[in-house]
Amino acid sequence: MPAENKQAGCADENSDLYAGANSTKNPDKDTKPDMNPDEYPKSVRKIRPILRRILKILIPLAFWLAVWQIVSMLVDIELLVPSVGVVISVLFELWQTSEFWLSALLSLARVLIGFAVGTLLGFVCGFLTHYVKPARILLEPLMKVIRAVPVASFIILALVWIETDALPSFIAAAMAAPMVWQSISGALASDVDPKLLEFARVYTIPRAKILRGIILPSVLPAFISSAAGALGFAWKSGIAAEVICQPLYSIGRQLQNAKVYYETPRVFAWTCTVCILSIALEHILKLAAARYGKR
Amino acid sequence: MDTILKINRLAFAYKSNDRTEQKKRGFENYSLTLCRGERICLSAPSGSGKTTLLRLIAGLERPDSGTIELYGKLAYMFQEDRLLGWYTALENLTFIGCERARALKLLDAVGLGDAADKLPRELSGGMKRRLAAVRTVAHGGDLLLLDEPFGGLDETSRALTAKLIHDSFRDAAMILVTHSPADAELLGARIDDRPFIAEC
Repeated sequence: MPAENKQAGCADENSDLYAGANSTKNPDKDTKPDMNPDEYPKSVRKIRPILRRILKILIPLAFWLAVWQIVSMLVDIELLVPSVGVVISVLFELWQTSEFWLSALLSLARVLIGFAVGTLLGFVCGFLTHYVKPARILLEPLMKVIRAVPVASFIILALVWIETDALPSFIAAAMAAPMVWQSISGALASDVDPKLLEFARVYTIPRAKILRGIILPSVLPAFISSAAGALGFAWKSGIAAEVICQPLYSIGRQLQNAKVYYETPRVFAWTCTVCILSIALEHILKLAAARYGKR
Repeated sequence: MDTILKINRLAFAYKSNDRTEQKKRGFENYSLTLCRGERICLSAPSGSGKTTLLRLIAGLERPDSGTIELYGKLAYMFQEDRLLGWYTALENLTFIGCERARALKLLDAVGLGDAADKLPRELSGGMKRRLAAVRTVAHGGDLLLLDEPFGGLDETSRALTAKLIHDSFRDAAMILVTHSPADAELLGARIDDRPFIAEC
């Protein structure tokens, strides 16, 4: 290994070494070195995985944007399928207005509050249904009903009971809770190693410590995975609720207004915003989970 | 001498899901008394219920009849390591209430001083076994149950771990389960090879 490092270091400092190697093996190519990837300079080895990750995102994105553009050109009616360029220019216009940022921020806040409440509720209900039999008997059918009711029915029903501004939060909570609930309940049944619980029993570990040191770390991976899924679902449902109840300053209201005035590029631009925020939220959640749950 | 463990006419049959199976294997009329400082090694053939006996003593299985009386604190080194994978070697010891300084000293005693901050998945099989042994020592007790404690350990580690256990549980009663007479000798345990399994 030291010999390889030394060679790599030399190559870094004396770039003409590459040219020397190329001149014998690849006379046609002046710059590309004929080297094993392991022998690349350290800086190149560091950048390669980052580049690969960026390309993994950019290539499919470019492909689907091209598909969109082709479809738009084939249809040739901006009202039905606007071109990529038009949507991007509308997006830029929107970004320059304070209404855009206020709507996006308030929509995010509404959904995140609902998601937090729903996740907490699902977490507690997951433990209750696993450990308390009467709670299981009572709550399990409720969970099945909530999962079976269509989101639209839920929104319309909730609109009767709840004031407009609180509805997206309520819907986000109602969508997130069963997902987290089911995942926690399943993880408690299958991911907590009974042998570790036996060890804790023999070593007379206090219950609170068993919860903190054995049970919670065991269910953490399932919780993170379900929370990430629930966040995406809560976000979409929350926006759908906004479309129906139209609170002031909300993405849903903006979408509905754009639809009413046949501003299809605006509908596309707001939809792109919803997608970008959804992906960003999921990534932030995963990063936070990776930071706190490295083990 | 102080009696630490008294097993009286213990009976236990393994529950089988197979309804066609007529005979059940298990213990019948098994009795044992252990006093402080007494060490025995159970070396009956595999599948004869040695581990089950330890689990019954630890209260992890219920006997069909008979009594088990334990006078004092129990320390149990399981056949598997049963380490907490998300905690470091040091945290696995502090989790059971061992003080940090003592934990570091114990890890050092079995050659795991440099592995204190490593997670179990970063340790070799032998290192994990030593960590499990150290955890049992850190817990301490009046009756020590050891189930194949030196599996996967080389000679040096075996000697180090055996010395630590031997010295730490000098006054405790001990039941060792192993097929190795050398291990029994290392821990100063008398071999008890009477059959305790029966068709019932």
